[in-house]
Amino acid sequence: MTLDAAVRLRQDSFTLDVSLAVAAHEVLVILGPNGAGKSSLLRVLAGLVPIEEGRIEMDGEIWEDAALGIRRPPQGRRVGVVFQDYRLFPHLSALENIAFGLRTGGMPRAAARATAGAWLARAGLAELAGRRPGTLSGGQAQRVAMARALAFEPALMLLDEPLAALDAGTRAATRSELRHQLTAFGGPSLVVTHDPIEAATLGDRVLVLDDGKVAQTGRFTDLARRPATPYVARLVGLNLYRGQVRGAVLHVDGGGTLAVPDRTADGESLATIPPSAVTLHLEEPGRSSARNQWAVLVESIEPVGDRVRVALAGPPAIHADVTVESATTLGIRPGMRIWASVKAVSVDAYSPSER
Amino acid sequence: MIAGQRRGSAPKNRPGIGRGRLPVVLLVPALVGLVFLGLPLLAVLIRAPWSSLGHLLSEQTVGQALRLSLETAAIATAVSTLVGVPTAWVLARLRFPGRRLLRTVVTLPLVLPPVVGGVALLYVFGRKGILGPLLADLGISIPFTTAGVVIAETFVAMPFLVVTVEGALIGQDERFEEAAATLGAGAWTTFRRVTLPLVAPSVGAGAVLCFARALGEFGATITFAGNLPGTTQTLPLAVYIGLETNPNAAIALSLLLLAVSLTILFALRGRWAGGMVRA
Repeated sequence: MTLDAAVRLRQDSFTLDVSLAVAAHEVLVILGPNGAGKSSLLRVLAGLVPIEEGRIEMDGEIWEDAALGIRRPPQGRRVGVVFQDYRLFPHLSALENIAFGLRTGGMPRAAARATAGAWLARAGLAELAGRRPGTLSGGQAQRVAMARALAFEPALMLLDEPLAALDAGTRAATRSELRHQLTAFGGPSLVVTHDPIEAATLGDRVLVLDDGKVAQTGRFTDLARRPATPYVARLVGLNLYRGQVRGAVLHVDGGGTLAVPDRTADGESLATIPPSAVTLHLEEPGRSSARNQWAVLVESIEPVGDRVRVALAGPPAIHADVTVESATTLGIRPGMRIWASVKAVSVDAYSPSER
Repeated sequence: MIAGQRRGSAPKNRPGIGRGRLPVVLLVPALVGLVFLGLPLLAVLIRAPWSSLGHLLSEQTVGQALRLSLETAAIATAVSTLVGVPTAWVLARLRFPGRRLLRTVVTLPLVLPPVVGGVALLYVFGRKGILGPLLADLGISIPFTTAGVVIAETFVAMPFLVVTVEGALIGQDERFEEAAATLGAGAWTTFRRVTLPLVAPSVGAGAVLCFARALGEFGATITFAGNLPGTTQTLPLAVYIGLETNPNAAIALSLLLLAVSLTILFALRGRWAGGMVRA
């Protein structure tokens, strides 16, 4: 039960060009900014949108092959899709929604209803069997949608931001339940999200999609440590720079330089700086152990948890985290010209290919 | 005069439009419109021969015409639903060249003078029509028969159903149909179990509207099916004939049609507009 896909298609504004493989029992999280093609990728795998080039293979069966002209419609793929808006049939009860996929598979009405009832009971919703989707809460609708997809006994599960429509309280509980369900499900699963917590907890592996292309893959902890895209860097709260290293100095694309640890190899490089490693000074700091010192302009200040995140224009631009106390003492406000310093040892430089 | 009075008193009476004066420029024409539309109906009620109404309506020709009208309109509505719903689906869901042209053709009877429709039908089903020889060989003659009435009514009334249902289908978008496809439902199952139930209210509204239009059909019917009592003389035709021979009977019949129309309007209760706009 392995999904192997290499798909390519042009859409209005961008080209989706993705290769991926997901093993049985594995949960692959698709992470990326809006418009990166996450939902398009799921629609392609579900068979709702034809590919222009490439091949989708599930467990050795060809679902789609552009070159061979093979294309199985969605009905022939056995995918369990949980849409972002769930798409529960509004005119059918919760029970009938779950029974729908069983009936299309040829199961007799009574048996389908009984099986659907068992799924509802497993989701803890037995008493809601007769309710229409419009009368269900977000969390209940999510569980019915999940049960409807799983009851269909799919070969592949596709979930498009399954928790995005829920409020924060429901989300935490549903997240662990979802993880449990996906682990119990035997086949491969893909979960689209733009929530870093979901990416870290739901998935075994993360694929970062950027402008229709795979920007990075790996375990979330690795991604979080060494992101390859500004999107992921922002998500995990790191400053990310791209540029050329020459003699332990990174010449940042877009201006500015950063001293990096001495052992850093020359050539194209990425580098991260945690905002907490940045020190702010009202005056030029002068001689100190911090090899990186440069003048910056305060652009904005916003509270993040128990600290204050200060956005600074460079070059290079940087975000700094300081305590509320320091921000008050220094009297930092937008428009101020101040100095930033960072120790070279706090700069993590790595080659774009080794991430 | 009226304008002057309104200007002075209206703002106090209508807190809903609290800011400034009532727009006389709009109110006066609106009043004219309301009177213009309402007065004729009122006139029918005023001039109706209430005392002899029972006698007039119990005449044999009236009963015949009423029954014929209801029967033909019902059959025309059934045919329109069976054919019109799939037509609406094709127009709303399939992408093919010439779709806009087809939509124009389908909606043309809405604006076409019914008499022209009747003439056109003669050139299809008449003795000299394009299907005439074929039908003659089969021993079938349609013009000036009850079947002709049904055809004329269907031609004129079906577009109302198609337009209503198509609007609902376009508004419903394809989200649920996609969900059904991923759950293994083929095109027919999806249509039967998802699409149709979701647009059912609009199909109902379209059918009622279609029935109303068929019931009132005059021009195409008299042109294509003639005016034979008991066979093709529907209520509107009976009203028209009655006006020349027995005006009181004409008014009585008009009252009858008015009552039927009001019943239909009540059954719809704004559904039509809803169905069209919900799109």
